[in-house]
Amino acid sequence: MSWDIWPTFDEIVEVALAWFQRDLHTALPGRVVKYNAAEKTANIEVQVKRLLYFPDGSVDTSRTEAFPILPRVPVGQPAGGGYFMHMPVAVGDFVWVHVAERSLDRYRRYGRADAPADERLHHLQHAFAYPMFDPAKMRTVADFVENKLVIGKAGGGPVIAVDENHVNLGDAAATAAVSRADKTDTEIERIWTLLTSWVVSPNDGGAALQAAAKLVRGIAPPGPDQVQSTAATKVKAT
Amino acid sequence: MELFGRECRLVVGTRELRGLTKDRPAGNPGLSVSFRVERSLGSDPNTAEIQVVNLSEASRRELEMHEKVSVRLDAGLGGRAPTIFLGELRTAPSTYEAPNWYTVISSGDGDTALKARAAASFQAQVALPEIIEAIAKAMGVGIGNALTVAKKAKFSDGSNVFLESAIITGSAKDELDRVLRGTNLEWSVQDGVLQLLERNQPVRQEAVLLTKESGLVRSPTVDRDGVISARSLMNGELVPGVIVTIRSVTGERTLRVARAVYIGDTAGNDWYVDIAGKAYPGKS
Repeated sequence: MSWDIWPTFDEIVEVALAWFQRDLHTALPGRVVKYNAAEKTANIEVQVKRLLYFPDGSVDTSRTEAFPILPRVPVGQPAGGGYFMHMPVAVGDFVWVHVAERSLDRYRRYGRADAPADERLHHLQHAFAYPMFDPAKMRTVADFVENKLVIGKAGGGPVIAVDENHVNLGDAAATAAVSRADKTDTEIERIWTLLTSWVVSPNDGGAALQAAAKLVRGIAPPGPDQVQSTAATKVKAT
Repeated sequence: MELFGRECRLVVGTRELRGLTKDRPAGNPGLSVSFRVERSLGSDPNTAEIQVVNLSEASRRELEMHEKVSVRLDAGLGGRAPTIFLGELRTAPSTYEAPNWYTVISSGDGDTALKARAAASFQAQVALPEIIEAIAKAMGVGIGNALTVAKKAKFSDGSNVFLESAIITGSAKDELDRVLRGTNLEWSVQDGVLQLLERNQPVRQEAVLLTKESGLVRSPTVDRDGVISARSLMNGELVPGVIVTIRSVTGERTLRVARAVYIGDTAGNDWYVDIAGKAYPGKS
């Protein structure tokens, strides 16, 4: 912007608004430089720099300014209804830094609605962060599968992939089916039944096999039935 | 206090401009200085506009070449000339209007400081004085009374600390404004030093007595907002933040000086300071 002699009122307002906006922080990309797992906070290096301006509002192209390291920023994890998802956070991770409009200090400390002591608005002091895939690397990621929800470790690790028909474990393109415990147990029971209750033909060795099967099954002394279900207690499937 | 015998010294950088009053050189009888210095308790810079008439050509050139040097103006009466302004040179252009050369020195107190940027992070709970100290360091101003006053200051919740970590970033002046907004403190830069005051409180409790005998020029006035204004002969004790008790024919009033404007002319009549401020509670 350049003025002939004196700025007009509109130009003054325009410059004032621009100055106002430059210190009104909302969201910035960041990278974790230190992570405190106990308190779930990170020191974060903002991944953009600030431009500096001349008083008339034009950019000083000779200078830029790095933001200070944002210290002990709370790192959020998704949660709701008493449930949560937790992703580990490591140094070097990308995070989106969000800036609350008012100080979070008292809420963080006491966990209740309270008037903030620090009256700064939209200030980097009020930052919180979410771990997120690095947008600068999104185009090069091979782990994503279009049309499937994929949870896993980047770089070729095992994944859980969900589409409208299936849940794939281990690999988003897995084709081999996972067996169900109830059906597996039924089939195993049928084998046990066969082994322990067939009609023995003399002298073909079947009697010995049946006796051994009964012993293992627990039908013979010392009993009782020792065969256990193959069903997991905390994993269900259809 | 002697109310005659003007004293004036102007020092730009390391160079003192001599011959302004009683020791005016015979070779340059037209040399004179007039000035208007505005000082307040606000965070905007104190300013001085000093016009020097008939500086030598060498001095005019030297002034035009200067950048970021200090400007100090001392003025008073009766052999005493305390500093009424200390700031940084902004511009000093000279013009010729026959038969004189006029050089106008513009200066601001803390100009560089008020343009400074600040960037600092504090890992743990941090107290207000530490934040103020970091900002003052970024501004390059003296710490003055800031730490002492900041130690006693409270945020609206009664605390003096940032409960979690803390950051200062951006314009140091704006950060100081924002950080102190939640406290009962006001700040300004006075003679290159940070000054913090509790809102509406003086720099010291002892009042300066202003009477006809000590230089009161006219009785004080009070405007609709309760601002008391008065004019005194040049007096370097009348600075922003002090308490002044004015005794005149209209009675006695005590104010805390929020603004002081020093107007002087070594070749004219002006040699005054206009003060303004609200009544200081309990003393007026």
